[in-house]
Amino acid sequence: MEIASVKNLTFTYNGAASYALKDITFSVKKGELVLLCGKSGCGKTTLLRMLKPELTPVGNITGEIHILSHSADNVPQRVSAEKIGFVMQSPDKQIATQRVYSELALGLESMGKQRNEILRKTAEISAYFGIERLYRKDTSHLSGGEKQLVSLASVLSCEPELMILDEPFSSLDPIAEKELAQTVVRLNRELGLTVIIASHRIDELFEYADKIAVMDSGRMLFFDKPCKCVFSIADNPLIYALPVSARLYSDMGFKKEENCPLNIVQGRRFLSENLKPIKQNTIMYDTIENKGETALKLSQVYFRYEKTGDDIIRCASLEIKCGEIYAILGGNGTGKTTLLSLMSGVLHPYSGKIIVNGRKITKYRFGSLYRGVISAVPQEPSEMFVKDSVDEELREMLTDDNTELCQEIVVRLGLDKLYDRHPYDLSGGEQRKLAFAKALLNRPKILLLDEPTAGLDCNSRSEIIAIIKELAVNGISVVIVTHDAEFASECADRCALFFDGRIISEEGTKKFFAANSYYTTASVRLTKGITDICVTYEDILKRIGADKNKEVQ
Amino acid sequence: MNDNNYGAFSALHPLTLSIYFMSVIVSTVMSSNPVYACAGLIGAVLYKMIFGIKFRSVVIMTGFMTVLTLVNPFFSHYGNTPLLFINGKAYTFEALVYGGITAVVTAGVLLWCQGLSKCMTSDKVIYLLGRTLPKTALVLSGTLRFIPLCREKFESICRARKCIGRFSDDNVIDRTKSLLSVFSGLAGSMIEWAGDTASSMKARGAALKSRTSFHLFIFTARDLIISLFSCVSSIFIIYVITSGRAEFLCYPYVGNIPVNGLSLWSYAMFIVLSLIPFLFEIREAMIWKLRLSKI
Repeated sequence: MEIASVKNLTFTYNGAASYALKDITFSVKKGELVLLCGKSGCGKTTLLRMLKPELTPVGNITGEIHILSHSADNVPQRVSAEKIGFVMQSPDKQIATQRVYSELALGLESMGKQRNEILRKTAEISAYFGIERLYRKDTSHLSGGEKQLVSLASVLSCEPELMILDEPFSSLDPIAEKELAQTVVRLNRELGLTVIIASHRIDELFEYADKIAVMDSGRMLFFDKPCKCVFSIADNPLIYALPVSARLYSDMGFKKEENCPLNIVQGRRFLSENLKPIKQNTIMYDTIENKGETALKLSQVYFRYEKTGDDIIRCASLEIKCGEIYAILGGNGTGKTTLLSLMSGVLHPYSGKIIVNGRKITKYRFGSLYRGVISAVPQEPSEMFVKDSVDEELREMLTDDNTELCQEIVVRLGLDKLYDRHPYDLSGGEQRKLAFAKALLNRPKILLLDEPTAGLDCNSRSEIIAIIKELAVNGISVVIVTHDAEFASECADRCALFFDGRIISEEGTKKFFAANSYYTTASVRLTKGITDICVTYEDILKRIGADKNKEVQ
Repeated sequence: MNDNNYGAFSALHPLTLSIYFMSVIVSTVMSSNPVYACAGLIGAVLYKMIFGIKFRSVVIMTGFMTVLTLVNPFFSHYGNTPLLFINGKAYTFEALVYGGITAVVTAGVLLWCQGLSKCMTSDKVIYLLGRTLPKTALVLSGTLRFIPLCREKFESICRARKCIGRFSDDNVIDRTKSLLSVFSGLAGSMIEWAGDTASSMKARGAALKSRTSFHLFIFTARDLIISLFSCVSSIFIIYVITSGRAEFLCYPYVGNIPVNGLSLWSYAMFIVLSLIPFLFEIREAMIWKLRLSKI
């Protein structure tokens, strides 16, 4: 039985030059888990909102949409509110009330349910999700992962038949992401709930999905089972988003779709069957040590927010050389952003020294620190934007000597198509790119990035990696705070683990990831113990190439 | 982390709390009798003391009361016992006494209002509204969430702008320009945020008619007793005051504190009324100590 079906849907926003969705056709059966992926701005959010009548954008619609056996423009208000659940991207912006229990009760109050019934339903849903201890808490005191869980529970308390999630993992760290993903799978498997979820990070859900939908520029490129996916989009750059195991299967020349490995376990089995066992446990291609000058140095820095509080930064020391790309990884809420704020001079330590380009950070007067020395991009890129269009935002950063640089950056990041848009109308990924461009136009010697790839698709990520590498070649140091192990493994020269208020382990990238078991890349998890440890997918390909060469010889 | 840790008294039903605080504040305000005034102030101070008083607040409050007392005779020249003559106008003893009483009453009301604001958190206020106007309560709830958010957002935007060199506070003009652009960014950001929250609420049916209101408050026997007592005692006290049985005259001469059957009863009731929160907390503390000592 079909819960939602779309036929030849074409949609253009009012006043827009080009279509947002073009000729889309697909249908979702009851109980299916559908994973929707595609580049930033390809139309995923627009498509998902077309399936929720209260959120459908205004514009020109042609084609048919049927949801829950009603036509999309005829769905009764009550049915839509109750039976179609929608969870949005931002954990903070979705929460409407001050206490968790009122948030959970929101939907039920709208249905006009009585107090006893609301109490029972919210108690039940809290028990199912394991969030009873959060019931009376203030919503502003929750972590990102907890907020998303509360939003999900709130939507579920009304017992919907169709659950739509629009990039719920973007702002979450890996642990919270895994938990939320497993919860979504549980909902689908245990309750038979139909789920449509859009995400850039598809590793977690790839094997559980009944259908994968791939979109590009408003069109639906692929809508079928996961095992067929890697073969159908072989020529498309979107393939880089797919799990390593599946890509490996296809790159090694295998064609049988049913045997395509979808997760790490299957991938490891496949690899050990098809690769000559070389148990050297060596790491492929070590990184060269940087022997340049010191750009930024922290010496036994201590910091806390309140006099009576705990130390957030406790005797932290690190040294970053010119032209080095340094990644700091660590758990959620441990203080990485605080460390970055100390480095950028926004916060001041109560003990210890911070030296930037050979001078103490306190000696930089009158904002000279931010003119050509340091630039920082915050976790929330929209905090940088105060103008009404992308063009004005970029213009504000123009000086005499960076006009050419501006043109180059804009074209590489694809911002030239977005000049007239209001910064807040851009998708999350596009906002991040704009913030990155603005920081670069300041011509800094040291660039500080806080989660530069959150919510970014793999193409934009590759572009940013390329730009960062070029900056490093030109002698600019880049410090990145990130959860994204894949990004750090491809980009950084050195990686550090932040824990207990300081840097506790610092190594060359390859050594770092090869030694870790959790904060590590999918490639490491795939190859550790089976063959030489490969940190990135390119390493795996090189390893297979070496194997093939040996065979030929 | 305990989100509503302001003692056992604040855990009572919001209706009880509002009735109680209204009774005690109205009774205190209406009094010009030193017994009422002192009882009101002492009750408020004792309740506040349970949660710790900073030395600084004591100093400020005492200073404030002293100023009020001393300033009153400058404006009120009634009374027949002049102490000083300033600019030909009399600084009388009666006016000083009256000023003293007013100071005590004002301080008492201020402290009670502080207690009220700590006990009546926003979700309790919304609950009281929600019984009759559920949609307004929802809108209010969403709005109240924004206030602390605005402040945090303002600071983050300042920081973000600083880090790309677009926030300079070298001189007043630059600083003003930078702040203005931050405010415009903040306004845009808040509007965007509000839009998203509104979408989220709409998606869950906030626009539907016939909305109910959910809450976790239970009205117990304790609540009933305290509400009834507060109502009855405040009505009685107001009756006694308006009927003039407990009138304390300052002008033309400082009178005696009225002591008759009715006024004595009203004094007793007022003292009990203002001591209710303090006794409530003491009782709770004693029960805990007792239970712990049995372990």
